[in-house]
Amino acid sequence: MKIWNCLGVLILVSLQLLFSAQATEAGIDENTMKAVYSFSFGKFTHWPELPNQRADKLGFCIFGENPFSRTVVDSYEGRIIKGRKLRIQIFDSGLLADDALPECQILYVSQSEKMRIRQVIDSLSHQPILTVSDIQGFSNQGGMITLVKSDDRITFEINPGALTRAGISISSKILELAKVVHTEPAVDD
Amino acid sequence: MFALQHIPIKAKLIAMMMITASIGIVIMATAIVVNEAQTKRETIVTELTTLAEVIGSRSTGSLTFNDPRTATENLSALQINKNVIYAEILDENNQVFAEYYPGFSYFPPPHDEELKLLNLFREWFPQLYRETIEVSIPIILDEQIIGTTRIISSLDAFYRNLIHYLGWIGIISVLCFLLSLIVSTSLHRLISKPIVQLNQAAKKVSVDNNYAIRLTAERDDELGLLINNFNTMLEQIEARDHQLEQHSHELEIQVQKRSSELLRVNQVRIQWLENMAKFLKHELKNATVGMNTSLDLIERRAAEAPIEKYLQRARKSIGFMRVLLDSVSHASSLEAAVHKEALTSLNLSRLIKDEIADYRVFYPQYQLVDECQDNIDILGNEDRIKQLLDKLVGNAFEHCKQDTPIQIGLSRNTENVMLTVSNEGVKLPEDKTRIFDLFVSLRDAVHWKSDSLGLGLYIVKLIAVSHKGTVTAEDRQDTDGARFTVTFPVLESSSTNEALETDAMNSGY
Repeated sequence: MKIWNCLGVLILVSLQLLFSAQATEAGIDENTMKAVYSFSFGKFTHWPELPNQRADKLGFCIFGENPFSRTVVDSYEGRIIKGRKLRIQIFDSGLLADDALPECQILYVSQSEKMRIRQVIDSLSHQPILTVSDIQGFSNQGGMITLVKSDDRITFEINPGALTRAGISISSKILELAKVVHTEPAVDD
Repeated sequence: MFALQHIPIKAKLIAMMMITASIGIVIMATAIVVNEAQTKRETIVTELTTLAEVIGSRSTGSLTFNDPRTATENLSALQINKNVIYAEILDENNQVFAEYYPGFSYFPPPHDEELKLLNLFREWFPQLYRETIEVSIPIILDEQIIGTTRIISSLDAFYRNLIHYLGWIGIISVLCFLLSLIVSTSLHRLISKPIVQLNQAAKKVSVDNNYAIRLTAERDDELGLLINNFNTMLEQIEARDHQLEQHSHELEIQVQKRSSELLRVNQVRIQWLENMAKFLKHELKNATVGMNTSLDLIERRAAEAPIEKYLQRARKSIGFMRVLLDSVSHASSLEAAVHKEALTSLNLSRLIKDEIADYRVFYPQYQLVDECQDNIDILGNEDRIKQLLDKLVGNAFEHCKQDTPIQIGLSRNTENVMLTVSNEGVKLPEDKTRIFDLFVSLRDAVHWKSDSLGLGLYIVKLIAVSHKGTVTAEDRQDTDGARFTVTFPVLESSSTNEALETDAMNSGY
């Protein structure tokens, strides 16, 4: 009897894992979808022109552990977005040097940096870098876009105030798709 | 085009102007309708394309981030276009991403007349008729086609508008046509009026022979020139008529003068002949009486044989003189009378046949051959014609060989009636024209069966001429002998009238 109970639990857990890791849409897994969405934000975003930035490159930086598969990263590396070549860099050492920031137009903050999210956001608050993350409440804490899993779909929240402060404008075409959120004041622990 | 040739010029001008105007109106109306249809269609396509582009552009985010709900909301903006019956957004794999159905008809159902016209248009132009129009526009993001916006719109409103437009064009065309009719009805007079006036004037000239008519040319165009030329032509004809009338009058006076002169000369001649005959008769009669008296005395006193012989010769001479006197008297009387005698219509065939029958009774020793055609009439005097035939037949009796036929023929052609008398015998003399003169006898007297004074053929000529005819003599070609031919004019109705007039004049004379 115990064996059957254990087997039933195992099947349920497996199914849960299977559905959670598997594609929310058309057989594509959740992380891949998040990667695709994150890359696509570049198509609807307008950055201010800065003298120390290369106009032909669009830097996509992953801060923390890389949640995306190698295949996805390789397939997007070098793609042209808004006439700029996509360059993907991974900063998984927990450090993001100041001299590397100009090369990042999009910064994806992975789940591994969940604990110091406020610090990261503060350090980037005046930089024209589009910050994206799937950490819950990322936009409420001052992040710009938060990817949210809703049922079998990936939706996103946008913090327009954060975008404005960073001097970044984002297309209304995705604003109407997103849930608009605002930065909540920090609560001291 | 052939039908236009037989209608009055007024109607012809109106018809020409109306046909031209109608062709222009129809072409213009057709061009306007075609242009309107084309423009409307292009407008619809442009509008749908713009809508598709806007919706596609707004749906790039939805396609990118897989949000069909928002795409459907974007499509619902098509509600502003009531003609759209279906729309969809396809993803990059041509799978339906979002759809739009209006769900109800925005238009009231078409009227029966509209339906009929639509059905007619569908039947007449199956190649042109389309129930819907479709626009497909790719959705491009960052130079990549990420989907397609497809809109299908109904063309019902387009055709309805077109039918209404056609109705208005039809009404305007009819108004233009009526206006053209009114204008052309007034304008045609510019050309038709002077032509009609010319026609009326020409008709009046031809009916009344009045060449004094003139038209007033109130214009400087070709019709004005035509009227001026018409007037000039009438002036020339009038002048020529006047000249002809003058010439005719002068000629008439001249003819009357000449005729009077001839008549006077002829009467003087006839009077002279009559006087001469009376004189000769009187004087010769006196001389004859004296000679007879003397001869009677001589005869009583001397009964000797030699004197008897001379006496007989003298009596014979006196007898000849008496015959001569009678002949001269007869000839002068005949010449005076023959021109005064009335001519009437008579059946010459019957007259001659009767005469031949009489000849056969009185002169059985001669063979008379009747070669006369029936029912030939002339204008003539019956007694004179009998006299003429007697002279010709008598002439033939005198000069024919024994037991040879004498042919009497009568025939006609379109102009003349020919009476011929032929006999076998001696030929005629060389100079055949003189044998019809008075007291001329050119044939050898040896061949004569009696003494001739040359009076018979002269009488024939007199009678023939008095009947407006001729007489000729010729040698026969088939044998030795002569043929005399008298011609008379063919009797016609006008000749009959003339005869009646001649009778009337003669009775008055």
